[in-house]
Amino acid sequence: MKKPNEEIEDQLWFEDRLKDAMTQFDAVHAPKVPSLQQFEALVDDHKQEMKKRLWKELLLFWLIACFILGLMLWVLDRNVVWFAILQICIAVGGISFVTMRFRRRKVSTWKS
Amino acid sequence: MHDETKLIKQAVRGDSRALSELLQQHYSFLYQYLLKVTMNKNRAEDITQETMLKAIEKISSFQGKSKFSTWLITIASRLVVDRIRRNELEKHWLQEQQSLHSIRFDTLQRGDEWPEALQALGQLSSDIRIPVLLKYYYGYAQEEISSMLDIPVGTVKSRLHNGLKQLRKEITEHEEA
Repeated sequence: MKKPNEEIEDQLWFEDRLKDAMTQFDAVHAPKVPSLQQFEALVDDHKQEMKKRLWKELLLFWLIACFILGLMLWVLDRNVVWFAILQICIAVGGISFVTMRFRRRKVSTWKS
Repeated sequence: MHDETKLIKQAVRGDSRALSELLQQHYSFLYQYLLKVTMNKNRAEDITQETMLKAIEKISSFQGKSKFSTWLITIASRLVVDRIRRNELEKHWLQEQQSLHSIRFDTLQRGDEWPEALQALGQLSSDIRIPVLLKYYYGYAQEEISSMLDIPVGTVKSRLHNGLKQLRKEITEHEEA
């Protein structure tokens, strides 16, 4: 671990050798900033797009939910045992999926 | 500064004009940061645009604990890191070399010089260059860089150590030659 003095030395060295060159680089490559109207158009367009995407996702969610619910009711109507088996399978699958996702996230946080 | 706080509050509440003003005010800063990180004009423009779009999507969750510029830099840095991860290593290295030649040529064409300091900085790989820039040029603390890049403080320290060591070596070698 570096001592505070060494950190200050590193900072001073960087400022002495690189800072001016980088400030100059920034000045040379200053971009042309778009107008406020262009930014407003970008923000409004993207908000519209996000709303559309949200509605699409919501619609897809309801379609899938209705399909699954219909299927489950149909199975329940035909055979109670198969309905129970299906319910157990879904519960076990869901729990294992969530556990695996959670573990993988923990490992990746630790690794990075 | 006070004005910025007001704009942030309005933007978080959903005011598009306030958000547009904030994005416009930080455009140059963000682009220049990304240009130094990527050393590639097209990629810098591309990621600046992507960062702005992400900011529009996430503005309602911005809590104002950090400065708006810090928040933008965090989004941008993570986008850069994601792109590096998606590229294969060798391809990425080749692209970096080509980008460095191209930005060097562009700088020289604009009548400015290309000092050894920039060449040395460009030789660093992006994952090392990002923490070096954030710490020594933008003045962020190691803990802040760690949370900005979502990596442990130890990794930040080792990257800073390696980065500075490499910079010293390149610049000293050039001075001695």
